Amino acid sequence: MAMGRIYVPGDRRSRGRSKDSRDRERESRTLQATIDPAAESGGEAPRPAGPALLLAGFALLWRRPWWLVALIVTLSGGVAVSGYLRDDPRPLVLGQTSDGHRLMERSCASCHVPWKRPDAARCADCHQAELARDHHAATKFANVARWGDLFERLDPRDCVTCHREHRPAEMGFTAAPAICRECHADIAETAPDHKGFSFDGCLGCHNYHDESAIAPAEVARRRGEPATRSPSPEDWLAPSPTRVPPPASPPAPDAPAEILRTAGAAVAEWGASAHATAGVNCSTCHTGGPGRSGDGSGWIARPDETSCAPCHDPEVNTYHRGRHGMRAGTLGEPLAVRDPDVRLPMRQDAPERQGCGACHGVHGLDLERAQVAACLSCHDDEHSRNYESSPHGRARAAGRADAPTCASCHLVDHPETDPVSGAPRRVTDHNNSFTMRPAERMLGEVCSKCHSLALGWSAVRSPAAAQKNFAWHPADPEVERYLQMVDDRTRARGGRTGEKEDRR
Amino acid sequence: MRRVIPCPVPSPRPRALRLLLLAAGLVVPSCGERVDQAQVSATRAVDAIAQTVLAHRKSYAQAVVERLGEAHVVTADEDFQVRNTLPLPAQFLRMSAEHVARSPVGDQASFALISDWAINRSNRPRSEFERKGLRELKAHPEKPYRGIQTVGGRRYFSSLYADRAVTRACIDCHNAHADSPRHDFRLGDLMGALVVTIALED
Repeated sequence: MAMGRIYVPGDRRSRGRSKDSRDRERESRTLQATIDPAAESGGEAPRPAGPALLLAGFALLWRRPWWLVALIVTLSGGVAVSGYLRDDPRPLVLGQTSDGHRLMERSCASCHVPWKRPDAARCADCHQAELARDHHAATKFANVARWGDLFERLDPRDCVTCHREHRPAEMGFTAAPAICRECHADIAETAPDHKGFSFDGCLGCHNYHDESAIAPAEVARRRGEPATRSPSPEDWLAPSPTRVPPPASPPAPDAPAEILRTAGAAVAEWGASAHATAGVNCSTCHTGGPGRSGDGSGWIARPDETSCAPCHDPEVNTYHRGRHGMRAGTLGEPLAVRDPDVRLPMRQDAPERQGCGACHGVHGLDLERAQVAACLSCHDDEHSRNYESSPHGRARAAGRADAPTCASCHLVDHPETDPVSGAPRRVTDHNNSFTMRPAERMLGEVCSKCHSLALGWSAVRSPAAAQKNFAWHPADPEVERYLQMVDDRTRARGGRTGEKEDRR
Repeated sequence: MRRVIPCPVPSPRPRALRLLLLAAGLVVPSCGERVDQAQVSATRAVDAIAQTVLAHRKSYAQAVVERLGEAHVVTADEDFQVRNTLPLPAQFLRMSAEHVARSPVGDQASFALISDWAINRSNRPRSEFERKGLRELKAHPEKPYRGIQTVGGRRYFSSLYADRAVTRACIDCHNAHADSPRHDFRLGDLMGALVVTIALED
């Protein structure tokens, strides 16, 4: 352990020095020996330095007790801060995260693996539904023998190539706007109707991940449809059975007697609900689901969605994928309505808790309320406040059974087959973010059921129209141009063109 | 950066050549031996993969798509996931290719369908090797086009095989699709190529 050259017998630099100088050197050597035992022997034989260092440290602290106090304070502070940051590392978050990821800032491990970059597999843990119809899926570039040269410039298999987090950007897109040029530089040759277009504007019409609603083939197919059609019974707009007939005689509630003494109102609500009709009793939910009900031991006073999941697994699973439930699903911690991480404005009198019961009611299972009133009891943004005065809201107020509600657009229904009984059923996708990003997904999943592509696409592309809850819809020249290009291609092949009539 | 060495296959350094191939159950041993022997082994390997892939697609096209379509049980459709129909034979092959690409041998062996008239632009030729191979196949479809190319700093032995319209589902889709650059395919026409590639390890 070399601590600097102090004195070496016979060293030419030590010769001819004064006695004082030699004394100082000796003293220095003695002090050095305390720190470095090798110096005592002229650095010839290395000895274990640990114990000596420890002793030296104690000696130093003994002579200067303030250092000891400072050390204790520093260590204590460090332990306290690290404990605090382990529970809530948000003070360490660099920059501003995207709206969705902000809800996950309490857990860096949601995205980060220690000492590694976030990889696409980590992203897919949460975004698998959005990536189910990915036009640029990583699997398309898996053939390295065909695509390996591209990876030297950009790697489309890696989400962070285009989406670098911790920096604000629309849709989290942080790549250069003209990134499409890397692969589509010859677009004007292969698609002559694109001649003169700027690569900066590709994403104005196209969606990199999911173009299923606006792909030319899909547009051509829809443009050929002869007329507007009303929603079919299989469509999401068909009147849903919002009220299951109450049972003629409710079964006896099986909650413990001491709980039933103060639960008269809850029992009455439950007795008129679909749960009572289906034979779902108090213990089914309050003890954690079927198979765990029984004698009332382990009573859960306020069941959360984990009690609903055994019977409503698709709904709970998708709920955990959306903004409403992602924190509960990932961190096991329900998101409070007025949590500081929520960026949308919320009503001051909004209920504190989120969960199945917040929208559906705890005992009454009011599906009617879950479609609009429950949303408006929390959301206080302009889009939400304008619903009731919008054409959709007015149609609903007028009693039209197929009038769109908040849930119609944000929680879409999908027909499925019951895996147990094989019977057809409708499952409501409770991922409330699914149709929001990209907006074209709402066009395909929702708007196009009744509206023309021109109207629907123009509407969802306009933030101003969305704020007004689509009380008006601007004509979008880019949409018109896109549809015209598809029509031209269809005509060139001798096909039919034409737009559906708008359904008012 | 692609560097293409066209057919006939030049000899890679014999001492360093090793063909890693597991997909067809063939393992070509490390060389240090005669170069032509390595070429023969590589050719046999890619031929075996090509025949396996095309046989799977033909079986699927005839025994599943055509048979169930004629019986009006279920049709094949490009949007098979949305419409709960069968995938088209070309999509079936592409899915197989993606499974192989994600498998442990994915960086050693791969295959893909390419065409000058591909609906999906990513399936059009990406390199001069593929462009020249398609030109050669149009002139001599019975003769596979082979060569070694360097892609992303790695050397590959590739072979292109003529791909013909094997079922009506192929030509019906390509002839009607809005994104298709050609709409006059007939059964038996050359539609593109199956390209099979194995990695050469230095």
